[in-house]
Amino acid sequence: MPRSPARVLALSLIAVTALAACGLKPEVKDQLAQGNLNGAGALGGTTGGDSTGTGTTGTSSGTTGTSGTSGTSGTSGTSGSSGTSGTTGTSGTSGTSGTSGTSGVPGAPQPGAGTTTGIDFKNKVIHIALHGPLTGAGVPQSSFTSGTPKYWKNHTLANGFKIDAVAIDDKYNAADALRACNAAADDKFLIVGGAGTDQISACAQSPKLRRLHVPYLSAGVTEAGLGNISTYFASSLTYKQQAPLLVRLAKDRGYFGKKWAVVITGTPNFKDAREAMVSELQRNGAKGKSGAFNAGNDVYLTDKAPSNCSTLATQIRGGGYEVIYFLGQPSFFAQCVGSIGNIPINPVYTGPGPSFGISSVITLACAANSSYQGFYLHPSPSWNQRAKYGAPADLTDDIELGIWGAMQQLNEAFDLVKGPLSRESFTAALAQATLRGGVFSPVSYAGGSRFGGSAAYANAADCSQRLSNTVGVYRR
Amino acid sequence: MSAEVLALDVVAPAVSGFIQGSVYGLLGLGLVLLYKSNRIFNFAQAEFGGVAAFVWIFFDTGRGVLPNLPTPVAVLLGILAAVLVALLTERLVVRPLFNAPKITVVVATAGVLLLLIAVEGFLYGGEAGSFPAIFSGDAVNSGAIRVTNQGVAIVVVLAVLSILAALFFSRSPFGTAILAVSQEATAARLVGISVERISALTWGIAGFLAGVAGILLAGTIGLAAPGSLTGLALVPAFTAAVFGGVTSLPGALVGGIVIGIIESEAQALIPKENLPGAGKVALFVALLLVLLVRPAGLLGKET
Amino acid sequence: MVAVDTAATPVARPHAVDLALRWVPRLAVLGLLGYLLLVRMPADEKYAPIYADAAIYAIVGLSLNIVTGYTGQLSLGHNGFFGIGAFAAAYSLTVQHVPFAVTFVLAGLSGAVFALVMGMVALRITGLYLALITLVFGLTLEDSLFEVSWLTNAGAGQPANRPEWLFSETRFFYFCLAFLVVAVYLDFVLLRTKTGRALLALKENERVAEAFGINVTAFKLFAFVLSGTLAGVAGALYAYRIGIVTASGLGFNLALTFVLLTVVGGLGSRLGVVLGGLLFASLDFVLHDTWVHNVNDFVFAFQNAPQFAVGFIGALGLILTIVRYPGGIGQQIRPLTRLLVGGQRSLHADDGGPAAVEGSNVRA
Repeated sequence: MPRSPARVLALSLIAVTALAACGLKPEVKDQLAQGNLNGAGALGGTTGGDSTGTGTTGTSSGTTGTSGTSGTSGTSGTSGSSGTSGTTGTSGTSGTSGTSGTSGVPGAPQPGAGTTTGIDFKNKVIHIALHGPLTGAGVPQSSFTSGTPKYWKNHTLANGFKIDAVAIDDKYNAADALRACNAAADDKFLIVGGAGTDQISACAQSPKLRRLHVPYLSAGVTEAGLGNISTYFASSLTYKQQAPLLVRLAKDRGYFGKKWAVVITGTPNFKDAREAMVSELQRNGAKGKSGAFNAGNDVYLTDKAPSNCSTLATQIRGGGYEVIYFLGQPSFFAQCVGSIGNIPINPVYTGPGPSFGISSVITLACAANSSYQGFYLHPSPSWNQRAKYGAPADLTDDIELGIWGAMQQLNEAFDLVKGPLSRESFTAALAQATLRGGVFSPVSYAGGSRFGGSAAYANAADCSQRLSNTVGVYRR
Repeated sequence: MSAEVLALDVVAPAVSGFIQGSVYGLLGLGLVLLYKSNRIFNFAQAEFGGVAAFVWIFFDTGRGVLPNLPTPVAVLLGILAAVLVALLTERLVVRPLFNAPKITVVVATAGVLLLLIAVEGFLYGGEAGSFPAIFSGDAVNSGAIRVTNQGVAIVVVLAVLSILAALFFSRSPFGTAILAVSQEATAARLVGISVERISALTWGIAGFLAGVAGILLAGTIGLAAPGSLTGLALVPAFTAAVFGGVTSLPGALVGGIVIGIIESEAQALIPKENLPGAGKVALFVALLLVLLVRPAGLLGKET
Repeated sequence: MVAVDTAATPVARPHAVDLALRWVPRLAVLGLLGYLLLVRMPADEKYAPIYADAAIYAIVGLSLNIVTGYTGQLSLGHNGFFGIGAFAAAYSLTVQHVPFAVTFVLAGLSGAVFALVMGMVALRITGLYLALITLVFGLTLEDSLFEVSWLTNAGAGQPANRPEWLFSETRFFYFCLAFLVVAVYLDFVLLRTKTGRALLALKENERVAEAFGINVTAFKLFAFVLSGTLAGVAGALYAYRIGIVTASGLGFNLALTFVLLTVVGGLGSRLGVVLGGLLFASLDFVLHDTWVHNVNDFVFAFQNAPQFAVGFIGALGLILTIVRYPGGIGQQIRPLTRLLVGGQRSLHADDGGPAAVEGSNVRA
């Protein structure tokens, strides 16, 4: 047996592991250095980025500064100055540039006032993250990565700061979402939940995010457990709030009187959506398999990520359902559309706004059933009408449009902050705010509720164009 | 039990289980062959089928720089790819371990499985793609009970391939050589049979069977991601093979169908609230019972 | 007195110099490695989680090593014991409000109970069939028990929030490291005792072992229970490491990762398994967040699925290990450890003894 190449292999593997820090790629280096940028540019700060020290509240600005120094130990003494500038901004040359340059502008960040993790004062950039299922949802989701920075390419905050927005992968799984969010809390100013109810719920309730006062925004999903989290904001209608609107949509489009089935993910995070929809259907006298809509017979709970739709399809087909409310994994949905088929019944699919792109789901659904038809509520209008809502032409699909809308809303929120920008002042400003929106409908948190959405777009899926069309706006 | 309920809860799952089980049987057939010739379990068997499905869809849709070929040609290329991967596995992984303990080879096939998933991921971008049924349309459609033409094709393919396999093993010299090697390798070598050639041949056949099964299964479920065929069919295929004592070809076929029906009925009859993953649990219990009570399999007889 | 002194020095001095020459460089290298790996890098909150993962993986590796490396029973279902431990800890803490420390006991116990059942199965079913049934066991748990509503919120996740004193990732790493040290010590003691020798004898030949008066049934069960306990405790650490336990992520891939890290690390080699844990815990980070990503991007330039790189390299490592270098990392670094620690004081079970990492181990 040749031993030496094997040894070389083993040793190099170990060496690679051990030397990981010495060869970090530039972006990561930057992120790691972020921890030091609380006061000003940490010139030589390589890996010593002290992200927890800065993560405390603004009251202990002195400690922030000192821990900044300790974090850079090992490098040269130059970065020590960044630590001192973390105190109040009076000392240190770079600290003053932060204040003097933008003094008088509302919402300009100041070193030392509140938690300013993720703000790069030297380059005037605020780092934020959006988590979404870049992998794992079962349908291609590259639009999360491409769409996240698009809005900020040509928009700057009123205080002169740029936003650097990156997409991080939650793998369509709450554990990975929490892992990603907790990591982002150390170097991003705030986090946006891109898609996925269980993932959004896990991140919003993360003790670390709450401890570090990280503002967390997402499209409306569940209400369970999120109502009293001070750092959480729903930027559109929740599933529960959409239930009555969905019935109205069904009545308007003429498919309400038909037989309904509700197919919904069986985790507790979907419980409020399920109950709201069932009671709304019953209240309006919907039909199900057994005459009046029946919560036991006509509601099908599915796994979070089921592998096979044959059983469910048999039940739906056997029951002769004509309308299917579906809230679940996109690839499973596409599979079911194929298994349920269009003979003898071609059902109408409906549901609350899937935060996943309708476009990509339609592509798969139409491949499975060429006469597929669906009506959905969604936070943003359909992609082909983006120009009407001021969105640029270069957005490639409705995921990108949705993210664009969320970022547009975020821009408005940032500009509302009076006084120095920090995680705390951002949250405080948003908690009182009413936002005009744009692509997204107006939203108001002024009443104290964090579920401030007001309206949703009704989008109809059309297989002939492989696109959806906005057919109306439904307000609460 | 009313006729309607019976049709919905019992007959319909049995029908879809029968069709699904035929695919398990095809994969189980390959597992039995490999066990007979090498005395090992091949954990990569279902993913050979995955490779076939991805190669098929690459050429069928003309992905990237690839030409857009007619479906039959694309299907053929897919099956060829599965055969090739199986042969490579035999040459590069299994043969160097001819004299190693069998358990080592089994771990190595698990490595092959992981490798194949990764390669599919690199080629396909990691997310599920839609796989159209090769035979579209329905043969039977009465609401609850639906048999697609694809389903009929699966059963027909299974029947044809099992007849061919029976003829192959009873009539052709290769077939009898495989049986000879499986029963007494040293003696077979003495009478001039190349154990290596036989091993390669068996893996080629197993790859072919997996390729056919993979393409049919992917088309039936409509969507597949790298590794999803393994998740769907590997355990049932093994259970099918074990039903026949891992040595009986008819045993694997019948076992596959029985397993398919058991899984499907368990899924349909046991509500998720009472027992999540009832289909998988049923498979586990069935496998455990067979191994504990009749390790030689229900139809266990060396054929 | 003086005379004695001068008389003694000529003999003692070369010995001392010799010792110093031998040990100072060794200690320096060991100290530097230890400082880098255990102090410098985990001090960064960004790296600490990777090291915590490595410690957790290493515990599972040791656990798997007991069953597979020592007694020769291949288990492909360790994700089951691990997951049960994780859910047991999360559930008892979050729903039942059990004290933090007790959750580890419960996690270990639940892992042990399921391992006992599996061990009983292993008494009847051996070899390839055992590998198969353990694999199916893990897969079945992933789809059934890990989806049960009261235990796991139907797979969506059971939260497991750390107590305040463990919020710091660095501190949590040292917490995990403490568990790893205990696990290594247990493993060390195990092999030095009669029990350990009995387990090794089981691997060589059960019937011979039985003829020598070894109670095969009891020792097999013992090995499974010990292994399940360790895996369960590691699962609890994992639960607190992430903060929420979900069904996805505890499946087939994890089971194979455990086998990978144990086999690539080197079955039967304690240090090898620990290094295997470190390798597989950091692979993702190394491949995507260090200079290695340039190589990675270059090699796999044609793809847009970087998440498969880890599986690809892991699988290649596994196949290479089995086909060419059956001793794994543990064997390959043996000359190095010998150089550093000396032959007698090797961290390995026993050089050249029955536990040696030579071919026979993987090929048990």
